[in-house]
Order: sequence, then C-alpha cells, then structure tokens
Amino acid sequence: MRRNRIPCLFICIIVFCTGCWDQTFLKDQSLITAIGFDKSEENGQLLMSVAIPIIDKEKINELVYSHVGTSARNARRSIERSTQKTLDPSRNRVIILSEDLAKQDIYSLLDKFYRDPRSSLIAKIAVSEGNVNELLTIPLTNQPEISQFITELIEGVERESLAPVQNLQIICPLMFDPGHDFSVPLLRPGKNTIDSAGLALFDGTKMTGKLDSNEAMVYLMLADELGKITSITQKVHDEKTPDQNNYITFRINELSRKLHVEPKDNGEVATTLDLHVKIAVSEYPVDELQEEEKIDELTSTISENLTTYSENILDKIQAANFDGLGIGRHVYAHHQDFWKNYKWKEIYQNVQFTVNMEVEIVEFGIIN
Amino acid sequence: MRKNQAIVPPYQLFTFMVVTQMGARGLSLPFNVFTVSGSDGWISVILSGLFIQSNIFLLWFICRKYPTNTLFEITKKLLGKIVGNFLNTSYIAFFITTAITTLVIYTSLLKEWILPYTPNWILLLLFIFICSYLVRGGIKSIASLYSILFPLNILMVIFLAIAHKNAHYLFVLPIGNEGLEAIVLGAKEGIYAMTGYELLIVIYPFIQGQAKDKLKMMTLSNIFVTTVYTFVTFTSIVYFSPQEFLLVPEPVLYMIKEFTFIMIERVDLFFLCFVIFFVGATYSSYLYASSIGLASLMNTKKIEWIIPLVAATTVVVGSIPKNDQSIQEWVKLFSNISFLFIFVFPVILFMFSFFRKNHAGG
Repeated sequence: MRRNRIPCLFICIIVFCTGCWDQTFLKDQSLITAIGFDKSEENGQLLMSVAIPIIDKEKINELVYSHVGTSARNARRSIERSTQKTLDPSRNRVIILSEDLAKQDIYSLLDKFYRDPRSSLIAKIAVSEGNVNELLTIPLTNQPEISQFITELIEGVERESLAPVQNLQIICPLMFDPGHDFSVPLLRPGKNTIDSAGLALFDGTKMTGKLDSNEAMVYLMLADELGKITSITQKVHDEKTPDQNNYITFRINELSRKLHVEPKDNGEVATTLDLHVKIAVSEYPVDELQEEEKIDELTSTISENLTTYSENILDKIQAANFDGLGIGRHVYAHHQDFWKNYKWKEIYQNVQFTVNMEVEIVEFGIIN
Repeated sequence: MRKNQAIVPPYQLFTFMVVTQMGARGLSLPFNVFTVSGSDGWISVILSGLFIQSNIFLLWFICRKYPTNTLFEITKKLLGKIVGNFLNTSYIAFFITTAITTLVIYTSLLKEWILPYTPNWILLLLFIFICSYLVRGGIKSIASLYSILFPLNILMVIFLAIAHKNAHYLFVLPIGNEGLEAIVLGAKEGIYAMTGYELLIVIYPFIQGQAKDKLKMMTLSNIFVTTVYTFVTFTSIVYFSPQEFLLVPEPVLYMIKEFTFIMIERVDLFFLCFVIFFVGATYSSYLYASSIGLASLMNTKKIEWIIPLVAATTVVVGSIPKNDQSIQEWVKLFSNISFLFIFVFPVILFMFSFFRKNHAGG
C-alpha cells in the first residue's frame, strides 16, 4: 500500500489539476473567420472588419463587424468592446487588404498575426480592388458564409493556376527576401458574387502592380508554380468563321522549366528561360489535327504566341519591380561577387529575359 | 564507499544520451547557430558534432581508467581530497545550474506558446514532482524510461520533414559564404545545445558491458544527435529566408505552427507536448547527476532526501528570471561557463590520469 501512495498522488494531481487558468470557453469566444483592412476615408486610420459566424438554429450566418483604429490590434480591441466577446483569431481563414493599403507596407498590418502564438498562419491573403468592408458584406447567392466563399475561391484559383499557393507563412520568407517576391490573388467585388481579378504583385512588402487572370496563368508557367489544372485559350487563326473557330483551348499536361541566370560585367543579368510544354487540346472546333503538317503549324503558332505573351508579361513584372521568379536569389546563390556590387532591386530593371518556348501536343482528346 | 553496480544495459546508454541531449535548447539551436554563421549554420552543427566526438573520446579515456567510479570519486582520486572536493562542488553547481536553465527555458516556452495565464509555480511544481519521482527510482528507471521516450524523436523528425514542402533550397547557397570564422564560432552555439554527453563520466560505472561497447554507444548517440540537429538546422534555413530568420527565436516550433492535418489543426501543440518529455528528461538527468554528487560529497546514502532538496532549489532559483530578455542573457552567460565543465576540466583530469598511470588502481 505504501508503495502505491505516490503514484496515486500523481493520478490525483493529473485528474484534479487540469489547470483553470488557460481555459477558454467557446461560449465566451467569437471565432474570427475572415479579416479585412481598409483605409478609413475620414481620417486615414485603419478600418478593420471581421467576419464572425453566428450559429442560429442549425444555420450559420456570418456577421461582419468593423471599427476604426490606429493599428490592427487597437481596432480589434474596439470591436471586442462593441461585441462584448473575446475575438479568437485561431481559426481565421483569410485576410483581405484593400488596394490602397497594400500599396503601403503590408508587414505593419500583418505583424500581429505573426507575433501571436494563437493566430492561424495558414490563413490566405488577398487584395481587393474595391472596398474590403463592402466586399465582406456582399449578399452572396446561396452562400451565407462569406469567409468560406472567399477561401474556396482562393483555393480554386490556386488549383487552376491563377495564383501561386500561399498563406501567411508561405509569403513571409519572400516578404523579407531581397531576391524573391511574392504575389497574392486579387479579388473584385461583384453584385452578388466575388470574382478573381488576377494577381497583385508585391515589391518587398508593397504592392506595385497587377496581372490579369490570363497573364497570371502564363506568369505562373514562367515561375514554374502551376497548379493542378492549367487551361489556356489562345487565338490561333484570324480568318475562320464563326469567331469561335479562331481559338484553341488546351491544358498544360507537363511543364519543364530551366532557368539560367548569367550576370555580366556591365550590371546586366542575362536570364534564359527554357520551357518545354506538353499540352493536351481540349477544344479546337476546326478539327484539323490529323495531318502532321497542320499540327506542326499549330504548335509553332502556339509557341510563338506564348513567347510573345511571356515577353509582355516579363516586361510588366519588371515594370512593377516584382522579382517573382527569384532571379535575385539565383544571383545571390551562384554569383556572390556580383550580388555584393549592386543593390538588387535597383538593377532588377536591367535583367534581360530570353524565353525559349517549346510546345508539344501530346493529347487530342478522343477525336482528332 | 558505496559500490557502483553496473545495472543498465549498454543500448540504454545510447538512448540515455540521445534523450538527454535533445532538450529544450534544440528548439532554438537553429536560431542561435544562424545568428552567428548564417546560412552555413548546418555546417557549424556538423562541426560541433565532431568536436563533441573528440570530447567523448577524452571522457571515455578517463572513465576507462576508473571503470567503477563516478566523476565525484575520480576527482578525489586524481587531485586529492581537497582539490577533488572543490572540483566536485563546482561540478554539482554546474549540474544544478544546467537543471535550472532547463527549467527556465521550459517555463518560458510553455508560457509563450500555450499557457499564458497559468502561474509559473504550478508549471514548475508539476514538472519537478514528476521528475524527482523518476529520479528517486534510480538510474535503472531513468534509463529505461528514456529508452521508451526515444522513438518520439523519430516522430519529431517526421513532423519536421513536412516543412520541406515549402522549402526554398537556394537559401543554403552559396555554401561557405559567411567564412570559416563564422562557421567555427557557430559551432560553439551548437555544442551548448548538445551538452548532456558530459554526464557519461557520471553514469559510466552503472552501464554494463565492455569499455569498447560503451564508446560505440556514445559514438552512435553522437552521430544520431548530430544528424538530427543538422537536419533541423538545415530545414530551418531552407524554410525561413535569412532576414526573416532573425525574427524567429524558436524556429522549430514556428515552422510546425504552419502545418495542419485533417485530424490535428495545431500540430505545434502536439509537438510541444513531445518536447516537454525531452525537457523533463534533460532536467531529470542533471537532477540525478547533481544528487549523487551531493550524496558523495556529504558522504551519505540518503539520496532520497537529497533529490527533493535539489529540486526545490532549482524551482526557487528558476522562478527568479521574469522577462524574455533576462532569460536570454542568463542562458548566454551560462553557455559560456559550461565550456569550462564540458571541456577544460575533463582535459585537466585526463592529463592527471595520464601521469598517474601507475596508480591507476587507486
């Protein structure tokens, strides 16, 4: 009996001392599912909006509260005071920034999410073209939960190669990296829905440019960050009627990209992108895929189109000073002397891109 | 004098060392190494492994000469009673301080990551109750418990391997960018995180088997620990960009915070639960070492009473530091002192044992 006394004591301690200091009851908490930031029109302070699910008789509704504050934390406190509940950020799914805020330093807004051990680092980030508070309060058809709608929208966009896979933690290394930048999806509020409007490009922590959805897809191809499905539509003829016959739609089955970075003495960086794209035709009403000649003609048209398009996009991302391909990181890793001589973001404009596109049609569907 | 019985099977020397060495300090090891040697941190960790291996040889040479004595008896034999006892006292102080450091890191970790409102003393009391109970069971219970804890290591490595899905491997390049000096200085940080192997000189007589087997086990455990820590450091380097890294003092937990599985939303909390086992193990090992040291110093067999006494001391001292800043300063200061005990004193002992060849029988 004596021998068992201490183990018994421990069992009692474990059972009765489960700790009442750090318990949090769900009834006192409001889980935040989406957070939005706007620049307040009145005084230029921060307008924070949070979506909170309210469970009411088997139905979940999301209410959006908002408040002005000097910082994210400060605005949250004000919302907590007005709702009489503690806001819990641990299940947050998405953070949306308005475009004018994103053009300033976004890290100052996000710092609190990185610092708080309870905050969820897997929340997605997005930039809204319009007012975020309005975006969060759009009455959606058939979807009471705005946060779920937006999260699924972003996940869909990532799957369809319209935006790179990202969350708070994934963008963080790139935010601080001088030789690699990140991009996040751009959302556009519609009447009863929200659309994806392409990509918001960041230079360091500031948004400096945009790509539309088609450009985003080809950009992701150049960056070798394609999602599961990539479906591109291209104009390949001019003279066919009706107009649909001028277009081809294809999926990218396989992509191999080789990036070659070669700095020169004069401060220029020659960058060669060798892409080998294997595509599958999914729509081509002209139906002339039985002759080898026609196929060759088609592939060369597609690869020419893609090359010109890629070059335009590269010009665009260079104009935004957005190093999404991580050229700077390559220079840092392989050409340390060159890196030390220059300030990367100042000479990023001097990068000379050469795109070698090789297209191969590997699938036609079940008809020619 | 108490007869030291060899009661622990040799394979448990391996698990004992691995579990003791992997402790709370491993969580911030990548950060500490990175601040010194940058993206070459993983080379530093390998270097520290090599240094520790040479240190293990040194300790083993001393132990082999006195296979039935612990450190506290060896010092007296080699240096005489007065100097020996003085050295013993400082070693005991060192072991107790290591235990306190472990406690301090443990409470600050728990407070920051999961239990911000729970008072410190509750965390400390629960922790030392369990640990002193384990230590009262003697070296045999300690060693067998550690051999059960050991597989958790592998689980932790698997958790960390997930981080490679978001890795940017270019972050490790160019190799050797920081220069040789930075890499060597970084190795120093690595060694502090891997301390624990110096307990060999305390537990050596309790291990069964030939001297050669024991060396083999020590080498294996060192290889294991070095490999895991190199992997951890490498993973952290490719996961965080260099500028971001400097903001993340506990990179291992931070990395894991991002993972989610279908069943487990916050993997970092689970990971922290496992880590606490290892923190407890580190603490228990040092508590054990200091207790048998004290028992031998005071020439008593009542080790059962010494253990709670030592544990209470650690709690009292361990609850002094109040903010993150002072904890970090404390750990830094202590790290520098520990070099004396893991390296300088063993070298002195080794030299004496070398000259006293003929009196080896004591």
